[in-house]
Amino acid sequence: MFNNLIPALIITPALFAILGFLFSKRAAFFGIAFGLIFFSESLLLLYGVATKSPWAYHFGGWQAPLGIAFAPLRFGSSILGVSAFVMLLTFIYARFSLQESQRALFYPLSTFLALGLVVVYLSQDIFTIYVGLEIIGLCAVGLSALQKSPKALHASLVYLFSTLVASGFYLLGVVIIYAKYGLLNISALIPVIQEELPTLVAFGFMVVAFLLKTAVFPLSFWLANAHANAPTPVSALLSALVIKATFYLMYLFAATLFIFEYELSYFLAFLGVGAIFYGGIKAYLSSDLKLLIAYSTISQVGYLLLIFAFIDEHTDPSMAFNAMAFALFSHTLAKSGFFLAAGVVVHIAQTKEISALQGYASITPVSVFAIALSAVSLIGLPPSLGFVSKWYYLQSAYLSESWFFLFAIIGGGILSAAYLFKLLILFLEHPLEEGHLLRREKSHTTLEWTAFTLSFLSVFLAFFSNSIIAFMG
Amino acid sequence: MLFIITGVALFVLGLLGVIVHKEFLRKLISLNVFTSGIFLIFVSTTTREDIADPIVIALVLTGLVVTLGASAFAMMLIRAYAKESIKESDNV
Repeated sequence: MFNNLIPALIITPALFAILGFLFSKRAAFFGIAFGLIFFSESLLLLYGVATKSPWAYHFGGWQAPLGIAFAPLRFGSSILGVSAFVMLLTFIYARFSLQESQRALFYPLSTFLALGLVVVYLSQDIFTIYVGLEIIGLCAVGLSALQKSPKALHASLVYLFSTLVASGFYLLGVVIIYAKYGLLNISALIPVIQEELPTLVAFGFMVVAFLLKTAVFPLSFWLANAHANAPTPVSALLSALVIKATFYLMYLFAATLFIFEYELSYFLAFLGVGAIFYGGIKAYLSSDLKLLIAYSTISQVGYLLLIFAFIDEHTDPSMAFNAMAFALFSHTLAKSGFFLAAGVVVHIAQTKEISALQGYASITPVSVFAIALSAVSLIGLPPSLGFVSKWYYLQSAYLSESWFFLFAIIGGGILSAAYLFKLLILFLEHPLEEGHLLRREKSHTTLEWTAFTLSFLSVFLAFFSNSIIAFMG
Repeated sequence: MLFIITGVALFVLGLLGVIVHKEFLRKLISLNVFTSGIFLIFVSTTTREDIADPIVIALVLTGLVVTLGASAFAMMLIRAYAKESIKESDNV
Protein backbone atom coordinates (compact mmCIF):
# COMPACT_ATOMS: atom_id res chain seq x y z
CA MET A 1 0.00 0.00 0.00
CA PHE A 2 2.74 2.45 0.94
CA ASN A 3 4.53 1.60 -2.27
CA ASN A 4 1.71 3.04 -4.37
CA LEU A 5 1.66 6.17 -2.26
CA ILE A 6 4.51 7.77 -4.19
CA PRO A 7 2.91 7.59 -7.65
CA ALA A 8 -0.34 8.73 -5.99
CA LEU A 9 1.45 11.77 -4.57
CA ILE A 10 2.60 12.66 -8.08
CA ILE A 11 -0.60 11.91 -9.99
CA THR A 12 -2.93 13.74 -7.57
CA PRO A 13 -1.45 17.24 -8.04
CA ALA A 14 -1.03 16.75 -11.80
CA LEU A 15 -4.65 15.61 -12.16
CA PHE A 16 -6.19 18.31 -9.97
CA ALA A 17 -4.11 21.08 -11.54
CA ILE A 18 -5.34 20.11 -15.00
CA LEU A 19 -8.95 19.84 -13.75
CA GLY A 20 -8.59 23.27 -12.18
CA PHE A 21 -7.34 24.74 -15.46
CA LEU A 22 -10.13 23.07 -17.47
CA PHE A 23 -12.98 24.04 -15.15
CA SER A 24 -11.69 27.43 -14.07
CA LYS A 25 -15.09 28.41 -12.60
CA ARG A 26 -14.68 25.57 -10.09
CA ALA A 27 -10.95 26.12 -9.52
CA ALA A 28 -11.44 26.79 -5.80
CA PHE A 29 -13.41 23.57 -5.33
CA PHE A 30 -10.73 21.47 -7.04
CA GLY A 31 -8.01 23.35 -5.18
CA ILE A 32 -9.43 22.77 -1.70
CA ALA A 33 -10.37 19.16 -2.52
CA PHE A 34 -6.78 18.67 -3.65
CA GLY A 35 -5.48 20.29 -0.47
CA LEU A 36 -7.43 17.78 1.65
CA ILE A 37 -6.38 14.74 -0.38
CA PHE A 38 -2.76 15.88 -0.56
CA PHE A 39 -2.59 16.46 3.18
CA SER A 40 -4.04 13.03 3.95
CA GLU A 41 -1.63 11.40 1.51
CA SER A 42 1.34 13.12 3.09
CA LEU A 43 0.15 12.00 6.55
CA LEU A 44 -0.04 8.43 5.26
CA LEU A 45 3.47 8.84 3.88
CA LEU A 46 4.70 10.03 7.28
CA TYR A 47 3.05 7.02 8.89
CA GLY A 48 4.72 4.74 6.34
CA VAL A 49 8.12 6.33 6.87
CA ALA A 50 7.76 5.98 10.64
CA THR A 51 6.66 2.34 10.67
CA LYS A 52 8.41 0.76 7.67
CA SER A 53 12.08 0.27 6.93
CA PRO A 54 13.36 2.68 4.24
CA TRP A 55 12.06 1.79 0.78
CA ALA A 56 12.41 3.10 -2.76
CA TYR A 57 9.90 3.23 -5.60
CA HIS A 58 11.15 2.60 -9.13
CA PHE A 59 8.90 4.03 -11.84
CA GLY A 60 7.81 1.45 -14.39
CA GLY A 61 9.85 -1.16 -12.54
CA TRP A 62 13.07 0.20 -14.09
CA GLN A 63 16.04 0.17 -11.75
CA ALA A 64 18.73 2.86 -11.77
CA PRO A 65 20.68 3.93 -13.90
CA LEU A 66 17.92 3.98 -16.52
CA GLY A 67 14.95 4.21 -14.16
CA ILE A 68 13.99 6.98 -11.78
CA ALA A 69 13.95 6.12 -8.09
CA PHE A 70 11.89 7.92 -5.45
CA ALA A 71 12.70 7.27 -1.79
CA PRO A 72 11.02 9.02 1.13
CA LEU A 73 13.49 10.13 3.81
CA ARG A 74 12.32 11.15 7.27
CA PHE A 75 13.36 14.80 7.11
CA GLY A 76 12.11 15.41 3.56
CA SER A 77 8.78 13.69 4.23
CA SER A 78 8.27 15.77 7.38
CA ILE A 79 8.80 19.02 5.47
CA LEU A 80 6.41 17.75 2.78
CA GLY A 81 3.78 17.04 5.47
CA VAL A 82 4.09 20.51 7.00
CA SER A 83 4.03 22.04 3.49
CA ALA A 84 0.82 20.16 2.64
CA PHE A 85 -0.81 21.47 5.84
CA VAL A 86 0.21 25.08 5.15
CA MET A 87 -1.01 24.68 1.58
CA LEU A 88 -4.42 23.42 2.71
CA LEU A 89 -4.98 26.37 5.03
CA THR A 90 -3.70 28.86 2.44
CA PHE A 91 -6.12 27.37 -0.11
CA ILE A 92 -9.03 27.90 2.27
CA TYR A 93 -7.82 31.45 2.88
CA ALA A 94 -7.49 32.18 -0.84
CA ARG A 95 -11.10 31.09 -1.45
CA PHE A 96 -12.25 34.13 0.57
CA SER A 97 -9.49 36.63 -0.16
CA LEU A 98 -8.78 36.48 -3.92
CA GLN A 99 -10.99 37.75 -6.74
CA GLU A 100 -12.50 35.13 -9.01
CA SER A 101 -10.16 35.90 -11.94
CA GLN A 102 -7.14 35.45 -9.68
CA ARG A 103 -8.57 32.26 -8.13
CA ALA A 104 -8.85 30.65 -11.59
CA LEU A 105 -5.05 30.80 -11.89
CA PHE A 106 -4.03 30.62 -8.23
CA TYR A 107 -5.34 27.12 -7.56
CA PRO A 108 -4.02 25.27 -10.64
CA LEU A 109 -0.61 26.97 -10.39
CA SER A 110 -0.14 26.23 -6.71
CA THR A 111 -1.34 22.67 -7.27
CA PHE A 112 1.43 22.26 -9.86
CA LEU A 113 3.76 23.82 -7.30
CA ALA A 114 2.84 20.93 -4.97
CA LEU A 115 3.91 18.52 -7.72
CA GLY A 116 7.33 20.19 -7.88
CA LEU A 117 7.65 19.96 -4.08
CA VAL A 118 6.88 16.22 -4.13
CA VAL A 119 9.57 15.67 -6.76
CA VAL A 120 12.20 17.67 -4.89
CA TYR A 121 11.50 16.12 -1.47
CA LEU A 122 11.18 12.50 -2.56
CA SER A 123 13.29 12.00 -5.71
CA GLN A 124 16.63 10.21 -5.63
CA ASP A 125 17.58 11.24 -9.15
CA ILE A 126 19.50 14.50 -9.53
CA PHE A 127 18.17 15.18 -13.04
CA THR A 128 14.55 14.64 -11.96
CA ILE A 129 15.26 17.10 -9.16
CA TYR A 130 16.24 19.61 -11.88
CA VAL A 131 12.84 19.15 -13.51
CA GLY A 132 11.17 19.55 -10.10
CA LEU A 133 13.12 22.76 -9.52
CA GLU A 134 11.95 24.14 -12.87
CA ILE A 135 8.31 23.27 -12.05
CA ILE A 136 8.59 25.03 -8.69
CA GLY A 137 10.37 28.05 -10.20
CA LEU A 138 7.95 28.61 -13.07
CA CYS A 139 4.84 28.12 -10.88
CA ALA A 140 6.23 30.47 -8.24
CA VAL A 141 6.92 33.18 -10.82
CA GLY A 142 3.47 32.72 -12.35
CA LEU A 143 1.88 33.05 -8.91
CA SER A 144 3.89 36.18 -8.06
CA ALA A 145 2.64 37.78 -11.31
CA LEU A 146 -1.05 37.38 -10.36
CA GLN A 147 -1.19 40.97 -9.16
CA LYS A 148 -1.13 42.65 -12.57
CA SER A 149 0.58 45.91 -11.60
CA PRO A 150 3.73 46.98 -13.49
CA LYS A 151 5.63 46.88 -10.20
CA ALA A 152 4.59 43.28 -9.45
CA LEU A 153 5.27 42.17 -13.03
CA HIS A 154 8.72 43.77 -12.96
CA ALA A 155 9.49 41.97 -9.69
CA SER A 156 8.32 38.63 -11.10
CA LEU A 157 10.45 39.09 -14.24
CA VAL A 158 13.53 39.67 -12.08
CA TYR A 159 12.50 36.57 -10.11
CA LEU A 160 12.03 34.57 -13.34
CA PHE A 161 15.51 35.34 -14.65
CA SER A 162 17.12 34.66 -11.27
CA THR A 163 15.44 31.29 -10.95
CA LEU A 164 16.19 30.28 -14.56
CA VAL A 165 19.89 31.19 -14.26
CA ALA A 166 19.99 29.26 -10.98
CA SER A 167 18.43 26.21 -12.67
CA GLY A 168 21.09 26.47 -15.37
CA PHE A 169 23.83 26.43 -12.74
CA TYR A 170 22.28 23.39 -11.08
CA LEU A 171 21.99 21.63 -14.45
CA LEU A 172 25.67 22.31 -15.17
CA GLY A 173 26.50 20.70 -11.82
CA VAL A 174 24.45 17.65 -12.84
CA VAL A 175 26.26 17.57 -16.21
CA ILE A 176 29.69 17.53 -14.56
CA ILE A 177 28.65 14.77 -12.13
CA TYR A 178 27.24 12.65 -14.95
CA ALA A 179 30.26 13.19 -17.21
CA LYS A 180 32.55 12.13 -14.35
CA TYR A 181 30.66 9.21 -12.78
CA GLY A 182 27.98 8.24 -15.31
CA LEU A 183 25.38 8.13 -12.53
CA LEU A 184 22.41 10.28 -11.55
CA ASN A 185 21.04 8.37 -8.57
CA ILE A 186 22.02 9.86 -5.20
CA SER A 187 22.29 6.57 -3.31
CA ALA A 188 24.34 5.05 -6.17
CA LEU A 189 26.64 8.09 -6.19
CA ILE A 190 27.39 8.09 -2.45
CA PRO A 191 29.83 5.12 -2.50
CA VAL A 192 31.73 6.20 -5.64
CA ILE A 193 31.93 9.98 -5.27
CA GLN A 194 35.40 11.30 -4.46
CA GLU A 195 37.03 14.54 -3.51
CA GLU A 196 38.33 15.62 -6.91
CA LEU A 197 38.36 18.88 -8.82
CA PRO A 198 35.36 18.14 -11.12
CA THR A 199 33.22 17.08 -8.14
CA LEU A 200 34.12 20.23 -6.25
CA VAL A 201 33.34 22.40 -9.30
CA ALA A 202 29.98 20.65 -9.69
CA PHE A 203 29.17 21.19 -6.03
CA GLY A 204 30.19 24.85 -6.36
CA PHE A 205 27.75 25.39 -9.24
CA MET A 206 24.95 23.63 -7.34
CA VAL A 207 25.57 25.66 -4.19
CA VAL A 208 25.37 28.93 -6.15
CA ALA A 209 22.10 27.72 -7.69
CA PHE A 210 20.64 26.88 -4.27
CA LEU A 211 21.86 30.13 -2.71
CA LEU A 212 20.18 32.11 -5.49
CA LYS A 213 16.93 30.16 -5.28
CA THR A 214 16.80 30.19 -1.48
CA ALA A 215 17.51 33.97 -1.56
CA VAL A 216 20.54 33.87 0.70
CA PHE A 217 22.17 37.28 1.15
CA PRO A 218 23.78 38.70 -1.08
CA LEU A 219 21.80 36.76 -3.73
CA SER A 220 18.50 37.80 -2.15
CA PHE A 221 17.90 40.86 -4.36
CA TRP A 222 14.87 39.31 -6.08
CA LEU A 223 12.94 38.14 -3.01
CA ALA A 224 11.68 41.25 -1.23
CA ASN A 225 9.81 42.82 -4.16
CA ALA A 226 8.50 39.54 -5.54
CA HIS A 227 7.10 38.44 -2.16
CA ALA A 228 5.82 41.86 -1.07
CA ASN A 229 3.94 42.68 -4.29
CA ALA A 230 2.21 39.32 -4.70
CA PRO A 231 -1.35 38.68 -3.44
CA THR A 232 -1.36 37.60 0.24
CA PRO A 233 -1.90 33.81 -0.16
CA VAL A 234 0.86 33.76 -2.78
CA SER A 235 3.28 35.60 -0.48
CA ALA A 236 2.54 32.99 2.18
CA LEU A 237 3.18 30.05 -0.16
CA LEU A 238 6.35 31.58 -1.64
CA SER A 239 8.02 32.41 1.64
CA ALA A 240 6.81 29.37 3.59
CA LEU A 241 7.27 26.58 1.04
CA VAL A 242 9.23 27.54 -2.08
CA ILE A 243 12.54 28.72 -0.59
CA LYS A 244 12.58 25.75 1.83
CA ALA A 245 12.72 23.24 -1.03
CA THR A 246 16.06 24.52 -2.34
CA PHE A 247 17.47 24.88 1.15
CA TYR A 248 16.56 21.25 1.82
CA LEU A 249 18.47 20.20 -1.30
CA MET A 250 21.50 22.23 -0.24
CA TYR A 251 21.48 20.51 3.15
CA LEU A 252 20.83 17.07 1.68
CA PHE A 253 23.68 17.37 -0.84
CA ALA A 254 26.12 18.78 1.69
CA ALA A 255 25.26 16.17 4.31
CA THR A 256 25.12 13.04 2.17
CA LEU A 257 26.84 13.56 -1.16
CA PHE A 258 29.57 16.18 -0.83
CA ILE A 259 30.76 15.49 2.69
CA PHE A 260 34.29 16.86 2.31
CA GLU A 261 33.89 20.62 1.96
CA TYR A 262 35.00 22.10 5.25
CA GLU A 263 36.09 25.61 4.20
CA LEU A 264 33.04 26.10 2.00
CA SER A 265 30.66 25.17 4.79
CA TYR A 266 32.14 27.89 7.03
CA PHE A 267 31.71 30.33 4.18
CA LEU A 268 28.01 29.37 3.96
CA ALA A 269 27.56 29.88 7.70
CA PHE A 270 29.11 33.37 7.44
CA LEU A 271 26.69 34.17 4.61
CA GLY A 272 23.94 33.10 7.02
CA VAL A 273 25.14 35.58 9.63
CA GLY A 274 25.26 38.28 6.93
CA ALA A 275 21.68 37.42 5.97
CA ILE A 276 20.44 37.56 9.58
CA PHE A 277 21.71 41.12 10.03
CA TYR A 278 21.04 42.45 6.51
CA GLY A 279 17.44 41.17 6.52
CA GLY A 280 16.86 42.33 10.09
CA ILE A 281 18.11 45.87 9.48
CA LYS A 282 16.17 46.19 6.21
CA ALA A 283 13.02 44.91 7.95
CA TYR A 284 13.46 47.45 10.74
CA LEU A 285 13.78 50.27 8.20
CA SER A 286 10.90 49.34 5.89
CA SER A 287 7.70 51.37 6.02
CA ASP A 288 5.60 48.83 4.08
CA LEU A 289 4.08 45.98 6.12
CA LYS A 290 4.50 43.25 3.50
CA LEU A 291 8.03 44.41 2.70
CA LEU A 292 8.89 44.12 6.40
CA ILE A 293 7.69 40.50 6.42
CA ALA A 294 9.62 39.77 3.20
CA TYR A 295 12.88 41.15 4.65
CA SER A 296 12.24 39.17 7.82
CA THR A 297 12.23 36.05 5.58
CA ILE A 298 15.71 36.96 4.29
CA SER A 299 16.85 37.29 7.89
CA GLN A 300 15.29 33.98 8.97
CA VAL A 301 16.89 32.10 6.07
CA GLY A 302 20.20 33.01 7.69
CA TYR A 303 19.36 30.82 10.70
CA LEU A 304 18.91 27.83 8.40
CA LEU A 305 22.42 28.32 7.00
CA LEU A 306 24.02 28.36 10.45
CA ILE A 307 23.87 24.54 10.34
CA PHE A 308 26.89 24.61 8.03
CA ALA A 309 29.06 25.98 10.83
CA PHE A 310 28.44 22.81 12.85
CA ILE A 311 28.00 20.20 10.12
CA ASP A 312 31.54 18.78 10.55
CA GLU A 313 31.64 19.17 14.32
CA HIS A 314 32.67 15.99 16.04
CA THR A 315 30.91 16.88 19.27
CA ASP A 316 27.29 16.29 18.31
CA PRO A 317 26.09 17.08 14.78
CA SER A 318 22.54 15.94 15.63
CA MET A 319 22.14 18.96 17.91
CA ALA A 320 22.78 21.39 15.06
CA PHE A 321 20.52 19.33 12.81
CA ASN A 322 17.68 19.64 15.33
CA ALA A 323 18.28 23.39 15.51
CA MET A 324 18.07 23.73 11.74
CA ALA A 325 15.01 21.49 11.42
CA PHE A 326 13.13 23.46 14.09
CA ALA A 327 14.16 26.76 12.48
CA LEU A 328 12.70 25.46 9.22
CA PHE A 329 9.39 24.26 10.70
CA SER A 330 9.05 27.35 12.87
CA HIS A 331 9.60 29.69 9.93
CA THR A 332 7.24 27.74 7.65
CA LEU A 333 4.35 27.96 10.12
CA ALA A 334 5.07 31.36 11.66
CA LYS A 335 5.73 33.16 8.38
CA SER A 336 2.68 31.80 6.57
CA GLY A 337 0.51 32.74 9.57
CA PHE A 338 2.17 36.17 9.69
CA PHE A 339 1.56 36.88 5.99
CA LEU A 340 -2.06 35.68 6.11
CA ALA A 341 -2.84 37.72 9.24
CA ALA A 342 -1.14 40.79 7.78
CA GLY A 343 -3.27 40.27 4.68
CA VAL A 344 -6.43 40.72 6.77
CA VAL A 345 -5.09 43.93 8.32
CA VAL A 346 -4.05 45.29 4.90
CA HIS A 347 -7.44 44.35 3.45
CA ILE A 348 -9.34 46.24 6.14
CA ALA A 349 -7.01 49.23 6.15
CA GLN A 350 -6.66 49.36 2.34
CA THR A 351 -3.01 50.36 2.77
CA LYS A 352 0.31 48.65 3.39
CA GLU A 353 1.91 51.71 5.04
CA ILE A 354 2.92 50.68 8.57
CA SER A 355 2.41 54.17 10.04
CA ALA A 356 -1.26 54.12 8.94
CA LEU A 357 -1.97 50.87 10.79
CA GLN A 358 -2.03 52.32 14.29
CA GLY A 359 -4.65 50.81 16.59
CA TYR A 360 -5.83 48.01 14.32
CA ALA A 361 -5.80 45.56 17.22
CA SER A 362 -9.20 46.93 18.18
CA ILE A 363 -10.71 46.01 14.78
CA THR A 364 -9.08 42.69 14.07
CA PRO A 365 -7.81 41.36 17.40
CA VAL A 366 -7.43 37.76 16.19
CA SER A 367 -5.07 38.80 13.35
CA VAL A 368 -2.95 40.89 15.67
CA PHE A 369 -2.85 38.00 18.16
CA ALA A 370 -1.73 35.71 15.31
CA ILE A 371 1.00 38.19 14.36
CA ALA A 372 2.09 38.32 18.01
CA LEU A 373 2.31 34.50 18.18
CA SER A 374 4.33 34.43 14.95
CA ALA A 375 6.59 37.09 16.41
CA VAL A 376 7.17 34.95 19.52
CA SER A 377 8.32 32.08 17.30
CA LEU A 378 10.40 34.25 14.95
CA ILE A 379 12.21 36.01 17.79
CA GLY A 380 12.69 32.68 19.55
CA LEU A 381 10.94 33.37 22.86
CA PRO A 382 9.92 30.34 24.93
CA PRO A 383 7.78 28.30 24.48
CA SER A 384 7.86 28.16 20.67
CA LEU A 385 9.43 26.18 17.85
CA GLY A 386 11.73 29.15 17.25
CA PHE A 387 12.92 28.90 20.85
CA VAL A 388 13.70 25.20 20.53
CA SER A 389 15.75 25.98 17.41
CA LYS A 390 17.70 28.83 19.03
CA TRP A 391 18.27 26.73 22.15
CA TYR A 392 19.91 23.93 20.15
CA TYR A 393 21.94 26.41 18.10
CA LEU A 394 23.19 28.17 21.22
CA GLN A 395 24.16 24.82 22.76
CA SER A 396 26.04 23.77 19.60
CA ALA A 397 27.83 27.13 19.48
CA TYR A 398 28.69 26.95 23.17
CA LEU A 399 29.94 23.36 23.10
CA SER A 400 32.10 23.96 20.01
CA GLU A 401 33.28 27.31 21.45
CA SER A 402 32.26 29.27 18.33
CA TRP A 403 31.74 32.56 20.13
CA PHE A 404 31.20 34.50 16.91
CA PHE A 405 28.15 32.42 16.03
CA LEU A 406 26.90 32.50 19.61
CA PHE A 407 26.79 36.31 19.57
CA ALA A 408 25.34 36.35 16.04
CA ILE A 409 22.42 34.16 17.20
CA ILE A 410 21.72 36.35 20.24
CA GLY A 411 22.16 39.59 18.24
CA GLY A 412 19.86 38.35 15.48
CA GLY A 413 17.17 37.55 18.07
CA ILE A 414 17.40 41.04 19.53
CA LEU A 415 17.16 42.57 16.06
CA SER A 416 14.00 40.55 15.23
CA ALA A 417 12.52 41.59 18.57
CA ALA A 418 13.23 45.23 17.68
CA TYR A 419 11.27 45.28 14.43
CA LEU A 420 8.49 42.93 15.51
CA PHE A 421 7.79 44.67 18.84
CA LYS A 422 7.81 48.02 17.04
CA LEU A 423 5.03 46.67 14.81
CA LEU A 424 3.02 45.12 17.65
CA ILE A 425 3.18 48.26 19.83
CA LEU A 426 1.85 50.26 16.88
CA PHE A 427 -1.07 47.85 16.41
CA LEU A 428 -1.99 48.04 20.10
CA GLU A 429 -1.70 51.83 20.55
CA HIS A 430 -4.64 54.24 20.31
CA PRO A 431 -7.67 51.99 19.65
CA LEU A 432 -9.71 53.13 16.64
CA GLU A 433 -13.31 54.35 16.98
CA GLU A 434 -16.33 52.14 16.45
CA GLY A 435 -16.94 53.55 12.95
CA HIS A 436 -14.02 51.63 11.52
CA LEU A 437 -15.66 48.34 12.47
CA LEU A 438 -18.02 48.80 9.51
CA ARG A 439 -15.17 47.89 7.16
CA ARG A 440 -15.08 44.37 8.54
CA GLU A 441 -16.67 41.76 6.32
CA LYS A 442 -18.07 38.38 7.31
CA SER A 443 -15.33 36.51 5.44
CA HIS A 444 -12.65 38.18 7.55
CA THR A 445 -13.46 35.84 10.44
CA THR A 446 -12.48 32.76 8.40
CA LEU A 447 -9.34 34.52 7.17
CA GLU A 448 -8.32 35.49 10.69
CA TRP A 449 -8.75 32.01 12.11
CA THR A 450 -6.80 30.23 9.33
CA ALA A 451 -3.91 32.63 9.96
CA PHE A 452 -4.27 32.11 13.69
CA THR A 453 -4.11 28.30 13.35
CA LEU A 454 -0.75 28.49 11.59
CA SER A 455 0.76 31.00 14.01
CA PHE A 456 -0.60 29.10 17.00
CA LEU A 457 0.98 25.85 15.80
CA SER A 458 4.35 27.58 15.39
CA VAL A 459 4.25 28.13 19.15
CA PHE A 460 2.22 25.16 20.38
CA LEU A 461 4.15 22.40 18.57
CA ALA A 462 7.15 23.24 20.76
CA PHE A 463 5.47 21.13 23.48
CA PHE A 464 5.92 18.11 21.21
CA SER A 465 9.52 18.86 20.29
CA ASN A 466 10.76 15.62 21.86
CA SER A 467 8.47 13.46 19.74
CA ILE A 468 9.42 15.47 16.62
CA ILE A 469 13.11 14.85 17.34
CA ALA A 470 12.43 11.16 17.98
CA PHE A 471 10.54 10.90 14.69
CA MET A 472 13.31 12.45 12.64
CA GLY A 473 15.83 10.17 14.31
CA MET B 1 37.37 19.32 -27.26
CA LEU B 2 36.34 22.10 -29.66
CA PHE B 3 32.69 21.51 -28.76
CA ILE B 4 33.42 21.74 -25.04
CA ILE B 5 35.22 25.07 -25.49
CA THR B 6 32.34 26.39 -27.60
CA GLY B 7 29.88 25.23 -24.94
CA VAL B 8 31.80 26.98 -22.17
CA ALA B 9 32.06 30.13 -24.29
CA LEU B 10 28.29 30.15 -24.93
CA PHE B 11 27.66 29.57 -21.21
CA VAL B 12 29.86 32.51 -20.16
CA LEU B 13 28.58 34.86 -22.91
CA GLY B 14 24.96 34.05 -22.15
CA LEU B 15 25.45 34.50 -18.40
CA LEU B 16 27.14 37.87 -18.96
CA GLY B 17 24.26 38.87 -21.23
CA VAL B 18 21.62 38.02 -18.62
CA ILE B 19 23.46 40.06 -15.97
CA VAL B 20 24.54 43.06 -18.08
CA HIS B 21 21.50 43.74 -20.28
CA LYS B 22 18.70 45.89 -18.88
CA GLU B 23 15.97 44.99 -21.41
CA PHE B 24 14.13 41.80 -20.57
CA LEU B 25 13.93 40.59 -24.18
CA ARG B 26 17.73 40.74 -24.47
CA LYS B 27 18.01 38.94 -21.16
CA LEU B 28 15.75 36.19 -22.51
CA ILE B 29 17.84 35.72 -25.66
CA SER B 30 21.03 35.60 -23.57
CA LEU B 31 19.40 33.04 -21.32
CA ASN B 32 18.74 30.80 -24.32
CA VAL B 33 22.41 31.13 -25.37
CA PHE B 34 23.38 30.22 -21.78
CA THR B 35 21.27 27.06 -21.66
CA SER B 36 22.37 26.02 -25.18
CA GLY B 37 25.93 26.18 -23.89
CA ILE B 38 25.04 23.81 -21.03
CA PHE B 39 23.41 21.31 -23.41
CA LEU B 40 26.43 21.45 -25.73
CA ILE B 41 28.76 20.77 -22.80
CA PHE B 42 26.48 17.92 -21.71
CA VAL B 43 26.47 16.15 -25.07
CA SER B 44 30.14 16.76 -25.93
CA THR B 45 31.60 15.67 -22.59
CA THR B 46 29.67 12.39 -22.59
CA THR B 47 30.29 11.39 -26.23
CA ARG B 48 32.75 8.48 -26.38
CA GLU B 49 34.25 7.32 -29.71
CA ASP B 50 31.80 9.41 -31.77
CA ILE B 51 28.76 7.71 -30.19
CA ALA B 52 26.54 9.97 -28.12
CA ASP B 53 25.26 8.61 -24.80
CA PRO B 54 21.54 7.75 -25.35
CA ILE B 55 20.60 8.70 -21.76
CA VAL B 56 22.17 12.11 -22.26
CA ILE B 57 20.20 12.61 -25.47
CA ALA B 58 16.98 11.87 -23.58
CA LEU B 59 17.98 14.23 -20.78
CA VAL B 60 18.93 17.07 -23.15
CA LEU B 61 15.64 16.61 -24.95
CA THR B 62 13.82 16.99 -21.61
CA GLY B 63 15.93 20.06 -20.90
CA LEU B 64 15.08 21.56 -24.29
CA VAL B 65 11.36 21.11 -23.65
CA VAL B 66 11.70 22.76 -20.23
CA THR B 67 13.63 25.67 -21.78
CA LEU B 68 11.04 26.06 -24.54
CA GLY B 69 8.25 26.23 -21.99
CA ALA B 70 10.17 28.66 -19.82
CA SER B 71 10.96 30.90 -22.82
CA ALA B 72 7.32 30.97 -23.94
CA PHE B 73 6.25 31.85 -20.40
CA ALA B 74 8.91 34.57 -20.18
CA MET B 75 7.68 36.08 -23.49
CA MET B 76 4.10 36.26 -22.17
CA LEU B 77 5.28 37.85 -18.95
CA ILE B 78 7.40 40.43 -20.80
CA ARG B 79 4.42 41.25 -23.03
CA ALA B 80 2.11 41.66 -20.03
CA TYR B 81 4.69 43.89 -18.34
CA ALA B 82 5.03 46.09 -21.45
CA LYS B 83 1.24 46.34 -21.79
CA GLU B 84 0.67 47.28 -18.14
CA SER B 85 3.53 49.81 -18.17
CA ILE B 86 2.06 51.56 -21.24
CA LYS B 87 -1.39 51.54 -19.62
CA GLU B 88 -0.01 53.14 -16.48
CA SER B 89 1.99 55.82 -18.31
CA ASP B 90 -1.15 56.65 -20.35
CA ASN B 91 -3.14 57.13 -17.17
CA VAL B 92 -0.49 59.48 -15.76
